[in-house]
Amino acid sequence: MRIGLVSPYPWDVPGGVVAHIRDLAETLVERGHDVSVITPVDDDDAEVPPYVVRAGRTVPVPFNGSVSRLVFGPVSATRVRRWIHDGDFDVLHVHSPETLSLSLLAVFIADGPIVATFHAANPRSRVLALMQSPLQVRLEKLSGRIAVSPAARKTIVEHLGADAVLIPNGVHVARFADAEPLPGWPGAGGALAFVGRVDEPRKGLEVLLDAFTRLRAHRPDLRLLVAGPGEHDGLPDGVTALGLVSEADKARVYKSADVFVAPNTGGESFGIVLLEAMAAGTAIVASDLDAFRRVLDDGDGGLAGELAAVGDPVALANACSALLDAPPRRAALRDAGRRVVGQYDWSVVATEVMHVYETAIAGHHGGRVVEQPEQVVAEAVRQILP
Amino acid sequence: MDVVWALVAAALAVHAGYALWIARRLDRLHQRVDAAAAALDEQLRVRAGAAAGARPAAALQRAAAGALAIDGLGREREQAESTLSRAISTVNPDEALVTANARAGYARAFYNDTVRDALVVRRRRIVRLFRLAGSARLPAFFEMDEATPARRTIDV
Repeated sequence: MRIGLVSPYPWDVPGGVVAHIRDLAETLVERGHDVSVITPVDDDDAEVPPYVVRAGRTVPVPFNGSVSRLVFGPVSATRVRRWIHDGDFDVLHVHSPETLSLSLLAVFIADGPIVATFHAANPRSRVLALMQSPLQVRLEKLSGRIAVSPAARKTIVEHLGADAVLIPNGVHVARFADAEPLPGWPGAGGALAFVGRVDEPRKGLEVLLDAFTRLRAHRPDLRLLVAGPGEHDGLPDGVTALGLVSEADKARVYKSADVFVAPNTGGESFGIVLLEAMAAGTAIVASDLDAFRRVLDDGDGGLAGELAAVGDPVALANACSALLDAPPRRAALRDAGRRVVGQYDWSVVATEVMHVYETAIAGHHGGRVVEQPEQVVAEAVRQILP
Repeated sequence: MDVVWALVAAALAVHAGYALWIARRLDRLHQRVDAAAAALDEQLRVRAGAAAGARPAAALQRAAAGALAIDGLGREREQAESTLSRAISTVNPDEALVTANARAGYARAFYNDTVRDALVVRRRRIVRLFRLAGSARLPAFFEMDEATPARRTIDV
């Protein structure tokens, strides 16, 4: 199948949507499909895989409490148009078409079957509320709509009056399961790990640092491994900050800890880091968020991780402390996590996405039964004029 | 006086243009509904075919035959497909049936999406007043119970 993927966000800036598109593209390529991804690329010198087509640079726009980098203009419109024309795709798969981005442009331009994946969960977005009417018209062109989480689906229902099927984010389970810990980690004194932007308050690193300082009072050899982009001043003793790491090193970071901590304070639609930690086989302590509960749900009424009250460093420290002292409990959570994460492996998720493509293509080709619109209007005009 | 007539003519032109735009949009939506309905019908038939060919399960085969016997996407079909869904939920489906069932579920979701889109426009006052929908029937949702076979997973 010839598949065109459209990314709204720059390829060379790390983020959940871009990672999703990359993993999906690579899984589909592995299965022998002909895949092309059009995406903004901010750095002209950035290396991109052969399936990536550059659409130009982005401009920063504040959106949903953080800064989105979007691209929308005549030059990118020309590039998208040429890409769609030359690509001759069986199906076009746009991501986050509710943003002013390449994705929305592609929806404007394309004629064939279009599938859209909605990633964002914005309970109250002024931008979306303003855009509702014009967006609805464009989104009528979509043959299939996917939401990656119940929260993302709720956002579509409330803001766009549309529905979507639920297909979760994927994870390459084997890549994380087979990774080696970093040399010297986790070590005898115990180790925690955090993955995410260090300067994004909603990722909750501040809460974790507070909890970590409390834990260190009784565990002088405890260490914390932090992986993620952004600047942070004055990290306490025992914290190793790696900055932005490669995908391969990220997998090793999860393996390097006794306990993976997700101290997020909100704004999380899905919780891909929890999938990665489960794939790596690392016990989890996470904030008690709806999105996290859903991902950790083992289907039998249990959870494949411990939850701690959101934004509460004492609760977080207690949960970590209990797990650090209980290797059997960690092993049980590890086993539960492996069972849960199997249904999120990209091999499973990509099969569902392919079913959506097949259904969208089938649903796009069909006959017409009503009269020509011009005749209908002419008839209406005749009725009102004497 | 000429100015007034010019204004009236301009207003009429704007409204006619708007009506034409809505009518075109509605025409596209009706085409989408028809195409999605054809796809849904096809996917449901494929599913019933996969169920009929599954390992001997009398209830499943009876339900599949019942679903295949009905044309169109009316009430009877909804009930027959719901019965088939429940029958599928009681067996351990093979790969072909899992796939057909997933596609039928997506086809139903996407059909209902297009119906919802079309109904939003059909309910507009300008559409009802000037009968911009022409002779097209009011699209109807397809409601049925979904089967809940075991979710796909991998062994880790």
